Amino acid sequence: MESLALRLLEKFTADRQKIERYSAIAETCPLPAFVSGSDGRTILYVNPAYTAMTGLQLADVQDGNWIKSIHPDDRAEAQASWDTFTKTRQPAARYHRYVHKNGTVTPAMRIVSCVENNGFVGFIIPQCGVPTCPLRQLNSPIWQLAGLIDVQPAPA
Amino acid sequence: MSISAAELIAERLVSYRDEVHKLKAVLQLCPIPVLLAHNDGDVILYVNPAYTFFLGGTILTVQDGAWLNHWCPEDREAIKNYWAAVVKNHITSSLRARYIFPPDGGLKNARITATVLESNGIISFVFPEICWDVQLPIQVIEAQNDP
Repeated sequence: MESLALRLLEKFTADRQKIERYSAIAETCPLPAFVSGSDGRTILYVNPAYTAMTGLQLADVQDGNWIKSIHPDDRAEAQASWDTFTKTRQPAARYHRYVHKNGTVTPAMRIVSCVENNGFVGFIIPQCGVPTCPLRQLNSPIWQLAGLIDVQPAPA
Repeated sequence: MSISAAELIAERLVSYRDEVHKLKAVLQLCPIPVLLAHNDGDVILYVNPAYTFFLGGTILTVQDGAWLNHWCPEDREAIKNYWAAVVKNHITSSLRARYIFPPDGGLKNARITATVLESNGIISFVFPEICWDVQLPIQVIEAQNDP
């Protein structure tokens, strides 16, 4: 039993180091990011860049309240596209205007993908909705990388 | 070590596994290249799929400074000096340089940023030129040897 405990302790230490490493990167990532559970309503993680862009912390975005970060005129489409994504589980990109709690509006592209454990990961690329943003190009390597098959062009 | 301690660790391992899975998913799907180095700057601990896509390097091929080979030969000295300054002075800064894009071997512009972690390690993000118009919420200082 002691050897089992020692093996567990070794595994414990290794996993803790992994968490510290991965967490440091996610926390430093300049792109706003979030992780959702498989139900699409429980948000498991938002990084500091997400909070900086929306003013919302992890506790603020539970039970569908992430929609508060979307411009009122874009909320219906944002909700509908999210519901479709969680059902079809196909990677998707959608343009929305994000609204910070202080009123600042940021046009951005939300790209979402499924992860192995049935949850979802999303990245929000600020300014991606502006006409000059090259990320709007549908043949961008970023979209190829994300394996996106359902890219919605941003409005002109 | 008692059985209860082992059980406690096992329980904690389950929560750690979930945490690792969640954070790793973020890194794996991050659309911009990410590289994590040990604080000596030589041992590379992690590169994400976007790094491999844009620069062609994998965790096995970027060790011992080999990651420099993915950059334009004319820019390598500046990148090497930049990286050495980050490692030595623990500064967060950025540098523009050209990387070799694997699909066609052409040179593409990119901006490198590097941040030294308080705990241990150096995180570097590479922003390909197609991302330059994105106003990212980061504060960077242009390196003096910016080409």
